[in-house]
Amino acid sequence: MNGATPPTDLQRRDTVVSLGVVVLLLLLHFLLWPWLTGLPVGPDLLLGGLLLAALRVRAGTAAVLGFVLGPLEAAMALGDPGMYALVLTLTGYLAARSRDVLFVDAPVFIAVYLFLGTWIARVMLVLIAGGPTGTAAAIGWAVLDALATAIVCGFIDTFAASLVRRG
Amino acid sequence: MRYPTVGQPRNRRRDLLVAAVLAAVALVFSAGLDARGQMVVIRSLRSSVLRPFIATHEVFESRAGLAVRVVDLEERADTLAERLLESADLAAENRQLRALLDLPGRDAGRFFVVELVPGHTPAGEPSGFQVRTRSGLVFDPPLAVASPDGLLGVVRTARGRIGMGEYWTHPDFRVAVVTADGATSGIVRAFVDEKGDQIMLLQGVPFQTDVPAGTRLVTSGVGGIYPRGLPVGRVLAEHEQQLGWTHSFLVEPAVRPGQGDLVIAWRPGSLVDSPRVPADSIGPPAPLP
Repeated sequence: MNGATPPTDLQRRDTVVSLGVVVLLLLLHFLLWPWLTGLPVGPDLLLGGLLLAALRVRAGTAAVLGFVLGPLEAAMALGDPGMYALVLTLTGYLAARSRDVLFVDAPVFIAVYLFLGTWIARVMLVLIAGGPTGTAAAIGWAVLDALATAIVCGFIDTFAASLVRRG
Repeated sequence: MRYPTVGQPRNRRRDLLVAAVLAAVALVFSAGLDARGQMVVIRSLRSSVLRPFIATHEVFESRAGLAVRVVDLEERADTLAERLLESADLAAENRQLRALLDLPGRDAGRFFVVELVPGHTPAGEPSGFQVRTRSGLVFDPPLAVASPDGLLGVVRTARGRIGMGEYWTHPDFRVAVVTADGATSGIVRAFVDEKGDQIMLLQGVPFQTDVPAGTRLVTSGVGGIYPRGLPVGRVLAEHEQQLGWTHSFLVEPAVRPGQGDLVIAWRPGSLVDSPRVPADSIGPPAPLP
């Protein structure tokens, strides 16, 4: 017994729908990989999905999810699987922990959270897993990618939330 | 509040422990695997968990933009026909000259078209790529990979029709080059300039030799992995780095990763032409085995 209040029906329904959204985002990410990475600026549905998942699950679970997704992303990007696993593990854990400290249930906050989370994760990827070149440019582009991620994933999350509330 | 509170103190310690262990495992995994090991992991994931997605990409890619590709291919076919006629004359002339010099027949290896697997890394410049053959040919690495504009990289490992390789931007990449007039040779590798852009560095040029800006560099063929004459880049300026009695030059690459969609691999022939050697070191021709 840890003293936590049992989840309400709304929370349970929200968890199911939201995790469905997360799975959908991850599937879309891998399915649309060539097109999303071919665009100059595009949403990172993998990071969006991981960050949204981190809002609903425990920090340890979010870290495990990041650890699993890291090598898959590296396999698509032909990068270092270990480094991608490290970055996404840290992203999942820190995102889940930030929820405990900072979270406010508002669409604007979700968008800001997605933007900052995506941008920080991208910067970590560039600095740790990226090559020695184009660092400044990659960090600059990451701002636009983070913005696209916040808009697309924020909209999908808000839409799913409205479905949950409508019952 | 839509989100359940799951951050009890006991859970937090456990979560931190889980994240720390996973991060440590990831770090060890990264440090313990060299490039070849990483490629094995990547290939395993691509051929198992990610296989359905990659198969879908291939289907969409093969059907997308067919009309545009037909027009493009027609133009290329016309250009190739012209070049073929020109090269036929050149080949005949080459055969005649070799016969006059009593040289054996020239086997310059074989070029074949390959496809770059789409997609690139979201973090920085890509240094690795995956290719597959269009025909039934299988890869036998190492193989040079180039676009019509110049050298792209090298296929390092392969299984059947799928190969994985490194662009010239990879830190381990090296290629022996020679100036277009054959006067100066050296080794080219990737280099990051002061602005953070990825260019090339020509090293090993004898101290007393100057290579003017704009000089074209091509592969020398030394080593047998790269065919002779592939464009590599153009000299930009001398670099301050000096190693012993040699100096270095910055080079603008002929082609960058991601440029162009036609990629060609080169398989060495049984006899690879050796670079020019001083006349006084040439002895009588050795009998062929």
